Amino acid sequence: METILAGISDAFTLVNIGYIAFGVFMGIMVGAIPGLNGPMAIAVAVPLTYSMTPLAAVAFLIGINKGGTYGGSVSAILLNTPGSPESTSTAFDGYPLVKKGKGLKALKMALYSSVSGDIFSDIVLFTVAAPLAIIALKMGPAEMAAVFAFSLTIVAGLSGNSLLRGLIAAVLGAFLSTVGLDIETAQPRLTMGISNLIEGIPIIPMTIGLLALSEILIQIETTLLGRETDTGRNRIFSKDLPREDRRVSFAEYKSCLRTIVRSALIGTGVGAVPGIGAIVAGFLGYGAAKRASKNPEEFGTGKLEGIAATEAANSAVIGANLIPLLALGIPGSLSAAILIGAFLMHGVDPGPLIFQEHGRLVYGIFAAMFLANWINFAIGNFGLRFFALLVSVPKAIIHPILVIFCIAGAYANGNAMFSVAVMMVFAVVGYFMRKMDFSFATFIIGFALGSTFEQSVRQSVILFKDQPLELFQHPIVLFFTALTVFSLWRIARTKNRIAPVRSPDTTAPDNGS
Amino acid sequence: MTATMMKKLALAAVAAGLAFPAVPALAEYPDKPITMYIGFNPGGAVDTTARLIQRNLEKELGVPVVAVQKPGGGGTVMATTLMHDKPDGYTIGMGASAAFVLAPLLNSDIQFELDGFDHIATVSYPQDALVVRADSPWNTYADMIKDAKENDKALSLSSQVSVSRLMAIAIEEKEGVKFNIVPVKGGKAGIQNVLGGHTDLTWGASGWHGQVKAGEMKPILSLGYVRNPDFQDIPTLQELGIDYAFVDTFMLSAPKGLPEDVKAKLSAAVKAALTPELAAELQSKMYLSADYRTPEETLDYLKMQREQVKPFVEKMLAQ
Amino acid sequence: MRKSDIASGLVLTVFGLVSLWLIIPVQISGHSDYGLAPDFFPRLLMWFFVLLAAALAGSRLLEVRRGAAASGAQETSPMEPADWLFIGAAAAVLAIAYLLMEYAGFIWAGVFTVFCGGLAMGNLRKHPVRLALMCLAAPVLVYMVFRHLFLVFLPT
Repeated sequence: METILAGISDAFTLVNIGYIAFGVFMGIMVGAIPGLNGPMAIAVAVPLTYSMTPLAAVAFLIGINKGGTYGGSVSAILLNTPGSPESTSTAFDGYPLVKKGKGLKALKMALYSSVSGDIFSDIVLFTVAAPLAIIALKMGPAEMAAVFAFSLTIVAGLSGNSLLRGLIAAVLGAFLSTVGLDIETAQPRLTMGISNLIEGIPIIPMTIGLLALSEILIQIETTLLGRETDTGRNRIFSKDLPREDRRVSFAEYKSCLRTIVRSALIGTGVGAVPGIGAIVAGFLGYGAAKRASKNPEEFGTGKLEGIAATEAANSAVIGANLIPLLALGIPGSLSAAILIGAFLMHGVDPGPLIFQEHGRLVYGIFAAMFLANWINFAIGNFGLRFFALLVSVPKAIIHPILVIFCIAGAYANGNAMFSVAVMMVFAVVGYFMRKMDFSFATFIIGFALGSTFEQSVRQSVILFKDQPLELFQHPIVLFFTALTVFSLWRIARTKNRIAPVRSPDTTAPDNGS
Repeated sequence: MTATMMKKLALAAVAAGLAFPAVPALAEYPDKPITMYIGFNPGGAVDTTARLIQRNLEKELGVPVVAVQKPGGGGTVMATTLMHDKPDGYTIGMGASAAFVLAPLLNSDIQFELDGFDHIATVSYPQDALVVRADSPWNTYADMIKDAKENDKALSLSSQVSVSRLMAIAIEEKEGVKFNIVPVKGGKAGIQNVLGGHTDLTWGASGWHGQVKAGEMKPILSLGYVRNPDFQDIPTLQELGIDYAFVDTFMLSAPKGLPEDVKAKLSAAVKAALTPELAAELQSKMYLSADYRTPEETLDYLKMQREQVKPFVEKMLAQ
Repeated sequence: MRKSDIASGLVLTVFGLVSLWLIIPVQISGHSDYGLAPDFFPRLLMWFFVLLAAALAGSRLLEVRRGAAASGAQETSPMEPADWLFIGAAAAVLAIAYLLMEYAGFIWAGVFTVFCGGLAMGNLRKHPVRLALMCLAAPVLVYMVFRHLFLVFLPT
């Protein structure tokens, strides 16, 4: 108890609060700019923390992480160009809301659900980290393969107008994820002799092109070809907007609470198991909300629940990522891995002994995380006013500048011109996908899950090829396999959705696909 | 905004725009930031070594050293990227010797050779071990082999690098037991598989120290040339009668064709950067032993390692 | 959506078949000593891909046959000639920007890109001064932000 109190009081110093605030601010910024993301900012910031105390250092880095997940939603909502891939599905409902003049409401909903998800997973971390980590350890190759298989069924819910086109995009994404060194034989696959491809297609430049630049291209095209008459200023602040369009009422928050809790649970689960990631969590949250909803067809047209579902899920991953890190010394994600490096540099070995050897520090970190949530809330709320200025700038100014941000952001991933090339290629690919109504959401899921799914299946084959029946002694495998089969059956039952010929929305790029 | 202000801004922008591309190429090395690839994921031993030495290198060289992660294939991704870069001293890479020694031997698709680089310096080496979970019935190597033989059991090994693959082959060869090798990405995934009971064994150079100290894992053997300084009671595989040893030494390399003066300057900077304080830090935080070697010594060391593993690689390829 | 589905379905089917017979065999080598071969998943996925793409083209073709008169008239193509022209030009601009960035540095590439983007958005006619300011200030600003805030040194 004394350690706990000492740790908590360590956190509440002016210096620490200052660092957390700075971290959150930086996180929101990098999250909002397409191409910059939380993990990258943390990696950049680690050297800045040498001179800090271990607590201040970790608190600062976690602040960046927390700010980053909210920041991603800002550009997703306001410009329809997700600043980071985990906010892809935030744009589905966020941008339509902006068009309806409810941008401020959308931003606030994103902030509230992001902070709610964060708080939820932090509480899980503080209270049941150890037992949860033990459960997470049970996730071996076979279990992971089953979980991935189940996750892939969300492709159906995110396919948009045509399941067939959604599936094609997903399979193509998975195929492209196999590019690079083979995990077992370490031989390059499908690299076409391009040496940069041996580490695979880099996902961040790819998503910048696919999500941000292709959308900017389409919007430039609509203006250039005179298909849109309005000059493209989305006013979200103007006083003539009714008050209820500029805020989230308590009743609205409450009506999304179920969704938020469901997504927070999903995000926490995803975060606690190393190797799935926030991108998948965001989509899983969105897919689950759509599946559970009574009016799934409203998703993608500007439904607050859609924003809440994505943001609560991808934010909940952050706290939960620390569960395997603190309890076992195993990072749950790239940002958590960088945090391990930061711990090590400050002489703290994260792992089973951290509570005994550095208990005071751990409780300090917990307190700092909790603090970071409220600081995120405060800065986010305050910052809304400035973000909104962004959309009141004419698109004629914003779009050309965003293009060079995309280029610079792509370059920043690996400091290589190759990343810029990847970004540009996928911008053109994304343009065609949007035009032909192939879902880029399912493409990204296919890509994000493809290589890990392959890896866990191949590992399972090696482990179980001699005794396949042993798989029946793995309850988690059985559970998720059953769940997968059930989902497939449900999809097949509504398979009349495969064929309908719906004329696409010709006025605006289809965001729901 | 007034018109004069606009003018001023425009002038400033023009001035700044013109200033950047016009850097003369004649200045003495280094006059711009150096990119340092790190051939492994963040949070591991190589990464932490690189990031700790990075700030000292910056002090020595007087320019920023920008770390860029290039993980994959136990350092082979980094090496392949590095070999295609300009040998001007502005791109260097922190990797480990296995990528240079083993990868070209094992894999005909690898485009580089051990001496296809200008190796700048050896930096440090880790303390490694083959580990099992704490509740494993095996306490020693002998227990493990006996159990596998008597019960005709394949030993499952999570392997992230070919170092441990070759170890499995060396043991298979000598003892007549069978290994099931499960390829994993990164040492932490191996630790996770062993802690979760999904595989029997994993070998690593980092990540296991804390687990062993916490009593979650037991070390079986090490692949060092001598015993680990901080874990004196772990026998080496050579002591157990199998002539296979490999220390995955961390080193800085550059593309082939580095000018001599640049190479000398970089190597000297690494030597100076490995201060006694940094060495102590590496030892206490990461169980790493600082071990500076000159470019020539580093190349000789790599060649020595290649000669040692050759027989095992040939056996593996013959399979 | 029908016509474009048929066209894209056919194009993708051909792409899949080319991958299966020409690309994968050349680009993936090696075998596994313990489990599934390195080309197992890529091949499996490509087979799926070909089946789905063929199904897309096929199912829409069938629909056209069945109810050609009913709904065929109202359909608009997602890619009109103007769209092809636009994306062709955009791709060319991006390619030039890439080359400029590689050989002349980020700032010049940025100036070029912002100018082209601004031109497309109709700035030249309405706000020529603003466009000039954007072209000059934005790339420098982005360069500075990346350099000082994120320690990323864009090429010069």
